Amino acid sequence: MPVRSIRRSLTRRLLIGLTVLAAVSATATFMQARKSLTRQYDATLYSQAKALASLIHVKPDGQFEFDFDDRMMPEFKRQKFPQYFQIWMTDGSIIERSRSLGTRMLSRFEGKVGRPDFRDIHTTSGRTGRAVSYRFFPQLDQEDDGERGSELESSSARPKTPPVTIVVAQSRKPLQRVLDKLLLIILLGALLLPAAGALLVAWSVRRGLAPLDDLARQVQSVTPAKLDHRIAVKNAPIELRPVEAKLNDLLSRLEAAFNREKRFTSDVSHELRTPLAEAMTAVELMQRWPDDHEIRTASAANALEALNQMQQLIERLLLLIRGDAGKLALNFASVDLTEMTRNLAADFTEAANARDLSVAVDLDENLSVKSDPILLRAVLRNLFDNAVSHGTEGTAVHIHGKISATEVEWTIRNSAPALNLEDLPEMFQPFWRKDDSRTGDAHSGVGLALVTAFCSALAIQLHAELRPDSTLEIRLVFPPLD
Amino acid sequence: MRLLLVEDSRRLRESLIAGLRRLGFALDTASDGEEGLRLARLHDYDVIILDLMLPKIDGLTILRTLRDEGKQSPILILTAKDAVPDRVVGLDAGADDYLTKPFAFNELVARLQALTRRKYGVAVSAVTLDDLVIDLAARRVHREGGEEILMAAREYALLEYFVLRRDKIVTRHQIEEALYDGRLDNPSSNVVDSAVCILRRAIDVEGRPSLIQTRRGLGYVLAATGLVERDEDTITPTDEKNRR
Repeated sequence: MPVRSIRRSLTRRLLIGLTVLAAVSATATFMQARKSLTRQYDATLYSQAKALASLIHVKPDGQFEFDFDDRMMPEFKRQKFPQYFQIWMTDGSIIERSRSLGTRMLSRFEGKVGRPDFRDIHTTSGRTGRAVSYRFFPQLDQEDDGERGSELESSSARPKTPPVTIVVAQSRKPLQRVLDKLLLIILLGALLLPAAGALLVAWSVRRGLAPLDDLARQVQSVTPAKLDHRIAVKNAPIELRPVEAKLNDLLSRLEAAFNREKRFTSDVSHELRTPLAEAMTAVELMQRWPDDHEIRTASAANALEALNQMQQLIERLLLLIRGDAGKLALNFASVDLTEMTRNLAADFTEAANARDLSVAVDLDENLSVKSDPILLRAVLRNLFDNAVSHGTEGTAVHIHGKISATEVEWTIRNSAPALNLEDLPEMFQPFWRKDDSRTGDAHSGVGLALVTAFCSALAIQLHAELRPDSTLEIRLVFPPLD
Repeated sequence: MRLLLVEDSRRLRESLIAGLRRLGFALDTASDGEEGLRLARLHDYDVIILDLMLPKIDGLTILRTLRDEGKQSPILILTAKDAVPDRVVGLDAGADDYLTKPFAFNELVARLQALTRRKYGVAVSAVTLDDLVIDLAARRVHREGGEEILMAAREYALLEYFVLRRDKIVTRHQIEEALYDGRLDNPSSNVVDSAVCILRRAIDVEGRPSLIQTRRGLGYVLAATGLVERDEDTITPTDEKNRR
């Protein structure tokens, strides 16, 4: 399927629309003008017919009198496009005809009395003309001319005379010339309008789409290396503002995700370098002094430890990746949180003692939650490990658990004077450490990141808070029991 | 040569201690920045091997502090940070060399030797005294046209120590500090004299004066006797190549 171009499609549609509109307008204009001009033409003929009619009188003796002087009405004698008339009595005998007719005769046609009847006529020579037939009762001459007017006013009082038919005609040529000129102008207009319209449309479309082009250019310039670029369309129209805002929002999130990804990759590489160096150096020593028992024993142990550490790190990273991808296998069951917490507290007693930490557990009995026991245990173990490893020596680690009507809440608190508020969101990122050292062999740096991933998978709300007394409190809120 | 290793990884520290000591290096170690800085201030090490990410005080701070205080000991940064900006920052802060983890042990040793030679102004990798050739890069000793003289790591370390300071008097105390990590059980013992005696037996030729002369009340001096018909401190063809 060919790629659609808004510009081309918009231009094409506008041009087609404009052309059709021009054609329809031209046709309508011409039709209307022709109708109007013909009506005017007819009106002229009709007024001529009425003027001629007013010149016909019936004398008291019944004779027709026609007071026509073509000097007064030169239209009937001019050389160029003269008008013609012919007047008939009811019996078809001709009363008068214009001299302009010469030897020709006009065809007689008639409508109702007092109503004009217009027709196109054709002469024997093939010319076309326009004619009006007007049938009327001629005026009856009275003895007293002074009363004629008033009698004419009342037709009922007028004595009946036979109706007379008058036909006035003129060549259509003058009308046709005007119509032809008009048609030419309209046609020229109809042709020029789309041509001028094409330019106007192209300019308007280009100008109208300029912000879109600018947007496209800016979006194209975004590369993985330039994710800090933000879209700023010059004179952005209101329709593009939401797009611009959404794109910038998307870019921000993409940049953050890219940076996280980059930092994660760099951190993974970095975390693996030290144990790899340990294993490599140990193996090199064994190779260099193969007969040195002391070197062999110590290096083998070191190499194995380093490899184990790498294996653990890789396994935890895989878990983290699976957790982030939502691909952890979950088996929900009823878990006794009280028992699990107490068992873990017992497991960490030795580690806590080594750092002169006391572990205080205060739990409601039979705290029961529906969760995956393996993942939940991993969450709690990591939180215990974090508290026992980083709590200030000589202080206490407090664990509380309580159940309410709607939820189960579990918290662990330890003294953390080195932490500040900015650290809170960071500490759940993989490989975040308060200082740069990688001393602790037992800590991979992904413990709290795993807690985040597992809590998300188990639908447990995870909250971290740093209290004013520098106590770190991590709170888990379990989903309500059914 | 006396080295200081500041590294928080226990296993790496243990391996480097074992390997470098077997090669005759005297080695002090620290597992955090604070201890590392204290030791670096206390002694004039031939080379300091410094990790960057350390507990308490980070490696860069140690490096800058030492340079600010005028400590000129060559410093080799040994770190997992491999990005170019990290290297630039490290070298700009006054490090003499930068090696990233994982690394080859042999490369670390070669770099340590190169830094030591540079410290003592020895630009070549092999030195000849009379007809005795000491290959500092290969850590081997032989007579010209003759067989290799096999010696223990400690003996070689002592010879190398003398070679780097040839024609200069070195005291017993200096030797103790440099070769025995200052950890001799009995400072008044004659461990140094015995070691010098063993070294003389290995490198001297019967009938010729010893290359290591005793200066009574002062210490020892390693110098060519001039009795062999050749220029002293001749640079071997390999060295010429190295120079180019």
